[in-house]
Amino acid sequence: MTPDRVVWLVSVLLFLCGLAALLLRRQLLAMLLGLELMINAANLNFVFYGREWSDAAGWTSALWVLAAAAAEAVVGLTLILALNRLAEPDTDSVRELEG
Amino acid sequence: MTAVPLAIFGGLAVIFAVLMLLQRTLFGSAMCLLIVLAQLAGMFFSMGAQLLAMMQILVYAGAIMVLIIIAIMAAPPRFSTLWASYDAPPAAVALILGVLLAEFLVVLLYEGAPLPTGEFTLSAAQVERQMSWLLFNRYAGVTELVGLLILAASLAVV
Repeated sequence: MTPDRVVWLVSVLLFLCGLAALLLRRQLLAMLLGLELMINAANLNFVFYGREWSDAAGWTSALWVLAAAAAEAVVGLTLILALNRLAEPDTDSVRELEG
Repeated sequence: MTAVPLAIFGGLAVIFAVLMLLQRTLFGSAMCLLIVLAQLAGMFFSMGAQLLAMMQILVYAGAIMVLIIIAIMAAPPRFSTLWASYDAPPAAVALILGVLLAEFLVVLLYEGAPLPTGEFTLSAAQVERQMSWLLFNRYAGVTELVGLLILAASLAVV
């Protein structure tokens, strides 16, 4: 099996695990973990093809994705903590914007 | 670049990703994700991207996972059911995932035209030098934008 097939297989399986967590888990935090996994699966391809095709744009994009994911995690966790004050903080109860 | 280290790190990453999905406790899921992130850092390292491997560990494993664990401690889940209750049966969701996986396996097994290899093969260090030129010359604007995004996220949290 060639390196690119290995990376393809790993990134798709990781992406599908993240997608399954996002779709199937009930807790908001578990969904956020699934989202992080999906972002990392995409990042894996950026890094691999940056190296395979000797084009640093792949690695540059991976660095930006890393930074944007950090910002996304911070905001997501803040929302989850704010939602935790509700009686039943799960995805079914979050339906309307207040105010 | 040989496939063996990639296969080892990748295999472990997939195993712990599945474990993350099936864990009963959020803390267990977070720990499994931490191991997946460490395996990915190992894959980056074996591809020659040492800087990105270090950033992966520093930013993801070090910062984001710590935040997630603090959030888990601050907001313990109050319902025991693990899986979302769906109007659509879970089988439909499983079907979607199955179709996605099947679609990919066709692409993987189909020996299509070989991917275009780079016009020139640079060493990892040269690619990293090229990356710094891209980050702070050609795409300096985007780099600043990402920095502002982090600043905005931090202010939004406060």
